[in-house]
Amino acid sequence: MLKLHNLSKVYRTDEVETAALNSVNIEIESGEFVAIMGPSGCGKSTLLNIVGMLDTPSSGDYVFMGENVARYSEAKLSNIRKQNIGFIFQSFNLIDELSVEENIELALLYHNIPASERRARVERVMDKVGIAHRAKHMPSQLSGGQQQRVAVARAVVGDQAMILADEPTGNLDSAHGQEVMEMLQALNEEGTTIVMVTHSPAHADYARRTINLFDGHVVTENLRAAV
Amino acid sequence: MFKNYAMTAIRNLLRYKQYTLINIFGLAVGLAACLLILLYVHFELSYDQWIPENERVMKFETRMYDKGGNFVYNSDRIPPVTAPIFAEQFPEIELYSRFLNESVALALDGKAFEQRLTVADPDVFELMGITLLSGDPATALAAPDAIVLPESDAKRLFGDSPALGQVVKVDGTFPVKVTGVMPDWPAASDLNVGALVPFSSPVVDYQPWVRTSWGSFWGPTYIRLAPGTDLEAFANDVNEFARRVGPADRYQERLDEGVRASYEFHFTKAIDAHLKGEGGDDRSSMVHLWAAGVVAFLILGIAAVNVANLGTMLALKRVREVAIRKALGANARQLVIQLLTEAVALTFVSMIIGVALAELMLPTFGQLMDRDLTSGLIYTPFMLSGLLGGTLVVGCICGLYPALVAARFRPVEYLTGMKPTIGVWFRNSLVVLQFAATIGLLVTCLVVFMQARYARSLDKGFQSEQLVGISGISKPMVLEREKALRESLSRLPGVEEVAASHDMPDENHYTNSSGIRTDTGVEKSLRRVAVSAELLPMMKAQLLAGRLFSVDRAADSEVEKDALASATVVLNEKAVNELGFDRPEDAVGQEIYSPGDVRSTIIGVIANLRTRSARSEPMGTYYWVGPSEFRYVVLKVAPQNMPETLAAIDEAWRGFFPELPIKRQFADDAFAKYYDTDRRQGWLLLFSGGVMVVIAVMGLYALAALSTERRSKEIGIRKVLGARSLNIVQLLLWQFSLPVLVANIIAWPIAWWGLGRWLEGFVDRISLTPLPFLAAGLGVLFIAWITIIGHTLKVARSNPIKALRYE
Ligand SMILES: Nc1ncnc2c1ncn2[C@@H]1O[C@H](COP(=O)(O)OP(=O)(O)O)[C@@H](O)[C@H]1O
Ligand SMILES: [Mg+2]
Repeated sequence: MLKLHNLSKVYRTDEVETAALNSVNIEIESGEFVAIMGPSGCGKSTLLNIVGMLDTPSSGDYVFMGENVARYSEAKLSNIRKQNIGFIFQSFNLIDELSVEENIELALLYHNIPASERRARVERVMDKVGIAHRAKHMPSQLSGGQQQRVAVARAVVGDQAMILADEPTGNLDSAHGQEVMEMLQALNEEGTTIVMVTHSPAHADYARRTINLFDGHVVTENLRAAV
Repeated sequence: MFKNYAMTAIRNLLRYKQYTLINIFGLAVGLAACLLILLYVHFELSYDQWIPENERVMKFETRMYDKGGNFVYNSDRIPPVTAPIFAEQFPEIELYSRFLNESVALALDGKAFEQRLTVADPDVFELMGITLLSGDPATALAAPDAIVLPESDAKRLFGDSPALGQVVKVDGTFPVKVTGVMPDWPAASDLNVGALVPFSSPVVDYQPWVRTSWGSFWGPTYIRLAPGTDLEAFANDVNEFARRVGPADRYQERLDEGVRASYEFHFTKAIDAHLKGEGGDDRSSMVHLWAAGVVAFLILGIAAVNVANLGTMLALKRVREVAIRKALGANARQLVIQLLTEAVALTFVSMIIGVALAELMLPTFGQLMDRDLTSGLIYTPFMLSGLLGGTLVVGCICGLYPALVAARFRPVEYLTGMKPTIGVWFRNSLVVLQFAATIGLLVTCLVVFMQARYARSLDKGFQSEQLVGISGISKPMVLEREKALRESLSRLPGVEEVAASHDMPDENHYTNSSGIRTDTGVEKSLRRVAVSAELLPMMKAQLLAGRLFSVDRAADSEVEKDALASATVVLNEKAVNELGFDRPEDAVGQEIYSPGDVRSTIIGVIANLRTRSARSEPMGTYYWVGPSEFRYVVLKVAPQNMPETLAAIDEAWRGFFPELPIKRQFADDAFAKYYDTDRRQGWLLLFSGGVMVVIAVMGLYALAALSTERRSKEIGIRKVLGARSLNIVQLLLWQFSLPVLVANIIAWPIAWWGLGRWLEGFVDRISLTPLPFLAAGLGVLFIAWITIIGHTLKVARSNPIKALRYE
């Protein structure tokens, strides 16, 4: 599905240069479930943002579905992104002023899909993540777990092939965390590629492979023995 | 405690520098504009208030009735000859003075100066409360050759040497002696007074009939009535008396026929002349002043709206701080006081800057408004306390709303992730109102200028280009040699044609009228305009029927002695209607009879000539060849070498009248002057509109900055979900266009109605079209876009992870 080759990211601020990623080489197959672990500040989010095409690498190559996208323009990246990639964030990132269904619909708004079909799709995913009874509610009226379910629904409503999740359980208690993990697992079993950053070894166990980052380097890659 | 508040206030203002600057500057500009307009309004209101005992000082006025007994119009003056008659008869008239203006030349050491004179009566000093700087008021206007000079004129003529007792020559004919020097006449006066001369002065000989005729009007007459005089009863007494002593043709003969007398005298307060008097190019009106006052406070209002709006946004920005403070035990009252202190501190600084700005702009503004404005008023204790009080009030209003929003906001809501949305609705309404006021004012501006342009371009019924009028021809010594002057002028290269006339476009209006009778028995009062035979063809007057006067037909121009019509006359269209002819053709060949039963044949009818402003209706007029009533020599000059031609004209004039400065102006310039008041109004509107746009746009800018900042997370999410920069720009532009669009809906009907009323004051007016409305609406929308587009693009282009990362 994607391949990172000697990929680096350097942040330049006025005085300091931070090398957030340093010659990273990673390959992720279609249909995989990968967990990324590592201490805070080691570059996990940076990696995920580049993979998700929200950011561009300073050097190196990023081949996504056979295309080297490392030097693509923002507009091109945006196009590939909205077709293929869904996001889930630690802080849910729902829009407070929009209802649950409107939040989910937002992911289809920029896809040229007619309104009737949009509505049908939104209803389908809401059923799938079990949030349909809260369709008209505002995010602030939901619990954290419910909000994250909305976020998951939003990430998959466009039939994205890959979901990138940055600490999706970070703000949830263990019961709700587990719920979200089970949802991701189910999606993976249906064929969605999932890349997830997590601090919890238990949640990393849902993945087939764990990549450990330290200071912008890939330290180890563990393949979980097949169950 | 207070010090703590003040320190926090200052720290906060400094922390949000950009917004503080916008607030302070906006409020300062608003206040400065408001102050300037108020100074102007105050100046207009102060007209003639300086006259002592002014509640008893009246203007003597006349209602005029024509031969049929119909009301014609009200004149704000009386025949000068009647003033002393009434004053002698009625003890109620304690003091009186006529004010008859004339412009003359004063010659001194071979140099000629133009000098404005005012024929006045000896009571003038006491009546108007004037203290002479030198000379004795009791005798200053006693002798026919007396002249009392205003201080600045005395300086102009004699420098620093004493003026008293000096002798100068008037119009190169008679000497006068300076009997007094008075302070310059106050600028805030409806009267435009020059050097004073008595009614016995030879200047009055220019129009000798003024001394005897009840049919001659010149300048206004002011009187001071005894305390407790009943105006209506006294006017009745005066009219009763006039019926007995007035000339028979205006009173007794008419009364015998059962027709109303010609005149009905009445009084208006002298202090009302400037604001309630009719017409007058320099006058103002209460409506105008009210409008100016409303605009002034609108400007201040929209500046205050900015402060309140930004204050709320900033309070929301500080919501985290507020939440934590509240959680730590700060109570609502402390918060309110904190925010109020901030707003008052800010308003106070703005006030100081605003006053400074007003001082800075006052000279320019005064020039624009054509008024001698001074800022003294600002520093009176009353105004200063008003400003301080106003600062407190405006500060509290500006601060109260953010304070209440912040105080009502409950920290739990924030801590459980809810964003306060309180006040959004109110804020949006304020923005809408702000823009509605701005758009309304801009539409008004546009329409006022369009009407002014239209009025200037009106079909005048003649060709005004290249026409130059030389005035002052009615002075006896000029009139004597007028024919020779015209001949000499006609020989100058560059002068194409020369004629003479009683009427030309000019700020000074002269209206002579005669009662006219037709064979069919219609009796009407028509305006009487004396012209030389060349004038109408030269002006390219549009002939509707018959023919114009011809120089080659001597019979046209024959005038019996003392007659007020020549053997033939030309009528204008209006006169044809008034005399009851159906068509212009019907009038040609008919006879009319002017006073003294002088018979004249109508030889032609022309379209109405417009020599006055679009506000006044053309009058029914007959044109006659009457050299005795010429006031202007009219020249048509070639468009080439204009400066040389004008210089040659001046030179030729000097050859004839070395001691009289020439007074000439282009007809088109005179027309432009008619619309000075409108121009002034237009400038005031444009000034206010400009200030409003600046303030509203600054507010919008800050609001856009703050609110896009607030929406940055949402924008980030949208971008992650695939929104392009263009989608985001659309989203934000729409958010800020909506209030402007709604503002249009509010502003348009109100402006449409108001402007419709205003236009009704013009006889010839443009019809309202949607064009200026669309132009103002789109213009403001466009300006709003320009203001926020930079910000919008920046936000739309920024990388979404930043917004999400720091959430
Ligand atoms: N926009 C940025 N500008 C400067 N430095 C950044 C930026 N984003 C991340 N960094 C730095 O890059 C490093 C990696 O950050 P990040 O990928 O967010 O770490 P993690 O998600 O693993 O906690 C950190 O040292 C961080 O300070
Ligand atoms: Mg991170």
